[in-house]
Amino acid sequence: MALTMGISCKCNQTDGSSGENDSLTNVNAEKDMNRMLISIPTPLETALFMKQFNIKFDPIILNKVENAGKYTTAKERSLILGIYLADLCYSSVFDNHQATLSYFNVVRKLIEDLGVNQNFDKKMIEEIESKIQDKEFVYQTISSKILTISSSLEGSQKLLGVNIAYGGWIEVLNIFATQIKGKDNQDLALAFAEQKNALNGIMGMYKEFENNLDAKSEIEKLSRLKSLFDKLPSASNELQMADTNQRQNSVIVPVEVPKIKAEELLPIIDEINRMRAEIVRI
Amino acid sequence: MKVIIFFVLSLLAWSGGYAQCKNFAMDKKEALGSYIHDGAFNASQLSSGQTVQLFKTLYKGQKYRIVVAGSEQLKQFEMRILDLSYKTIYVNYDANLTKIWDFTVENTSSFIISVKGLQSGSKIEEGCVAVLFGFKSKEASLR
Repeated sequence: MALTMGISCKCNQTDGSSGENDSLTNVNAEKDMNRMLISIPTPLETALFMKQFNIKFDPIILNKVENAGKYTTAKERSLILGIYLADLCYSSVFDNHQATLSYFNVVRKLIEDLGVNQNFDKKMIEEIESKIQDKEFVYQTISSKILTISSSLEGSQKLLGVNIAYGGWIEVLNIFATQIKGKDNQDLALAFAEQKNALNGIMGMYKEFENNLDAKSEIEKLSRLKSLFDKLPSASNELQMADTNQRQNSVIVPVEVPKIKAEELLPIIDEINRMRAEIVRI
Repeated sequence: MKVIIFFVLSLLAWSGGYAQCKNFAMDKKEALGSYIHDGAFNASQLSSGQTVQLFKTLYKGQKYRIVVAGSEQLKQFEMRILDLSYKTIYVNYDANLTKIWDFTVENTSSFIISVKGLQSGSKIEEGCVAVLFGFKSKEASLR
């Protein structure tokens, strides 16, 4: 889910000079950082990534829209909104128009129930319905109207924004998991394994609310999940440019690519299934 | 553990700066062009000499665009792309301090975009900076 959380650091405050340092060697980037923003991969991005791999749309893995009435507290609704947003993105990218419209409607209702002002009303649904074949319009609507929700919530609603991001991320991993289990696709496995960085980000977001019992409970679950991700083989984090002379349309290449075996992901998949089941309560 | 601590360094000031600059970021989406905005409004108040860093995971097979935009008071930025070991793999000094950068990743990877406000006059300026991400599939046509 598109959530940005910023944290500040009273770190090495440099002077204002322009310092024309074009060196590609290490700078004291970590020390010089004053603000850190964390961006979690969005369900739309992830669904578009998965589409490259000849995946068939499977509605069974998604949370049924009929379940929407079961979620009554703000916490439940915010978590499930994240889940349904991910289902919406998946349905849309995989060209299931009927499911897309159903998820748009349930998302609209949840947004209304949560009291979030997003200018996402029935008229907008009608417009989406009339332009459902227009992928660009649908994607831009999802991106501008819906994925911005979690980062638009402030003050007392900020924790709900984190819940939405977390719910969406869990559902994305659920969808991922169904494509990884029993198959040997290194690209999917690697992208799944790379989610450990998003997990760190989400944990960081919840830690801002660690005095809140609900947030504390999520941190505990995420910590258990993190311990499983930490067991995966790691490779160096180093990246490089494929062509250092190319200024635009560059290609970034990892120095080393870890080999992930599908069975190594199974404990993580099982844990994610448990975490998701707790949210959707089926 | 270090990564989590890194993410939870301090909670002062940023929230006020972010709220103020969020609307500024919303106006800058046009620079993404045909790239789909990822929905995040990464924005912060920054003074010249200060640095904001954005952590991001990017997927193989997608094209990405980064747009850095500053308010009137803060117009020029050093933009660095760092891997997670903080090695610089790109800096915009050789590209005329460009604020827009298009790229792809050969394999799904995580990295850091580091944006530093540059001082153009004699005094330290302060303003909003927004870092926007757009993406599109390499092959797919949206129409």
